[in-house]
Amino acid sequence: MYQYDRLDRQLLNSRSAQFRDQVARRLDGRLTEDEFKPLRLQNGLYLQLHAYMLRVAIPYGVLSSLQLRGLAQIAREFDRGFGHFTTRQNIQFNWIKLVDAPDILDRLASFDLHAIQTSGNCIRNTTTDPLAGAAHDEIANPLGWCEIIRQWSTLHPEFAFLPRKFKIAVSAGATDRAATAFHDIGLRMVKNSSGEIGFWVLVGGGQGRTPRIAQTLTPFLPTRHLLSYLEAILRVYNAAGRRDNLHKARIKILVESMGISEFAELVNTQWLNMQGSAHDLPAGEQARILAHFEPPSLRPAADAGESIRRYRLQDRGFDRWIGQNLHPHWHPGYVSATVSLKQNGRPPGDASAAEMIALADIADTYGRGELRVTYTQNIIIPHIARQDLPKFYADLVAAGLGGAEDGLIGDMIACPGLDYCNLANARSLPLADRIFTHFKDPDLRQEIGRLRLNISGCINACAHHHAADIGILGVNKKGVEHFQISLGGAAGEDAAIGKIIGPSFAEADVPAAIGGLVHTYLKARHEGELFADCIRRIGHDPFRDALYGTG
Amino acid sequence: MTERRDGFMTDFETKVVLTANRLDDGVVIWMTADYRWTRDRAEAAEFTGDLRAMAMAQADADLAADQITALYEVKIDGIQNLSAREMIRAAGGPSVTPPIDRQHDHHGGD
Repeated sequence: MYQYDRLDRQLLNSRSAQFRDQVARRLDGRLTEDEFKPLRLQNGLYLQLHAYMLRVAIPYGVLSSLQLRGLAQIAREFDRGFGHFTTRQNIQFNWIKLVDAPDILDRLASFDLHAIQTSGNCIRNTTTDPLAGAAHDEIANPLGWCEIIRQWSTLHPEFAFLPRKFKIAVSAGATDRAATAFHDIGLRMVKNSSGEIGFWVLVGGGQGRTPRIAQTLTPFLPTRHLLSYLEAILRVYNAAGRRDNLHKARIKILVESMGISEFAELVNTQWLNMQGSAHDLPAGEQARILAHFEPPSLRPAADAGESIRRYRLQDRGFDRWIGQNLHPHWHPGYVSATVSLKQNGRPPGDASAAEMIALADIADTYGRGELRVTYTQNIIIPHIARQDLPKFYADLVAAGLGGAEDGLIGDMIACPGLDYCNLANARSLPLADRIFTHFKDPDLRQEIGRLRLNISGCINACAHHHAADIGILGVNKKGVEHFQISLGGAAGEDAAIGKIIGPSFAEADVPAAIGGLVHTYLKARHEGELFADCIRRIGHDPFRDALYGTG
Repeated sequence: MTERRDGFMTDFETKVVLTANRLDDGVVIWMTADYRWTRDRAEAAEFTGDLRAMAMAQADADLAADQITALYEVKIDGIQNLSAREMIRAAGGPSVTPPIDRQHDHHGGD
């Protein structure tokens, strides 16, 4: 992974010192709240329902074991001993004191992390495939390009005050595991007919109150032009994006209002004017950054087939976990493994400090000391030798993290919702637990198979409910929490926006409603047919009838 | 600067409690009958009429003195008293239990 150099550290330290001064001036009254608010937001510090919340950037979701231990220490010393992993592959601490925030930023800088641009109308943390660099199906490792985007976008003076926040995702696998179509810019690494690797550039996707699927801006952009092309897109958006209406300020609205052709023409005109200038990264610098992401040298792996089979027969939990939580690796003797942060009684995405430390130890023992935060609010540990899987699993179980939920109905994405968030209408977290309880039989969850169920506490859609097989949206009905259900969303290369199926439900009625949808699916599905495919085949009517009757 | 979600009503019938966050640590606080701030929602006073105006004047002074932030009134008559948001905020924490860190001994006190 990328190693900070002197300049990177200097930047973080100076930024941290600057914020320390800003906090001091706020506390002694030299800065008003109106003056201070944009400054704290630029450093990831929100004031939420109960307290200040600090959102820490985890660049493209990649963490070293040392960094995860550092986050655990912050959770213990400055918070309540836990953190919440988010759909932007970041981590949030919910109980931060303003007076502690400068010390926390110093601490983060000591292990090369920060909270810069985790809020505000700027370019946010670039996300990517959590299997990047370890996947069996990618045409290139996207992590180096994510790092190039990170360096380009961090404190970019021209893009510090965009019309609205801006999110970029990069994917390089045959399967899009980064939801690129739901981003302001989605970059899919592809090969052209000459075998050259480049980017298929999508623009104008997003969720929130106006969900849109990104459209193709160019089907192939040579990698060497990435930064100049991104800069051209951002310049067009910065100049033409609406600033008069918060709800119409995202690039998706601009692209839709002018049409993709006109938008592309503006971008290309801007881009052609920039050719030959200093906007693209010099080849030497590009090579320097990409060199940080060379594939690890993995020792030859012994054939573990027989011992794994034996363990599977002996341990039903292991059998279930290995069938659900593993991902193929480019090296046949290795895998990447999902550590599920979803279980009955646990708010989705939450991890205690002790669990973070245990995961860091496990990543050191069995992997390469590296972990990935997934946008589905789990952790992936890449580069695990198959022969080590029984011990790896035993260590996870000892840490209380042996759940086999990856991709199943229990693997819900849920935003913090009204339990923490100032914007939310309804609580996502207790509802997620009620649904988990409704499907408490692990064999049933496995029988249902892959099914993405996401719960957002408001229309901002932080939990990606638009892109779920079953999406749940919290709404406020005269001060009472209600939940609207949508069906048929998808986040991958088959991206689709879910459609609302009918009137909303009171919280207590939602688990049974989900049960009705699942029952309908189990009755109607063909052998091996996924929930998403079943909906495409039979449509929404049978599901609507199951919830509201045929009348 | 003052954030008042319910607005400062000019009518003198409405019963309200005043709430804010302490500036330095963000803790949710409520105004008491003697115009102090408390962390305990049960100690929050209900204000109407002139007392409401006096309470808001004190709160505004605390705001101006940079002791508190995010000040607003919560109407306790009518439907807003029942809003899930205000109930959760008054409870002082989420309605779910985060994973427990056994080595962590700080559980929300000062």
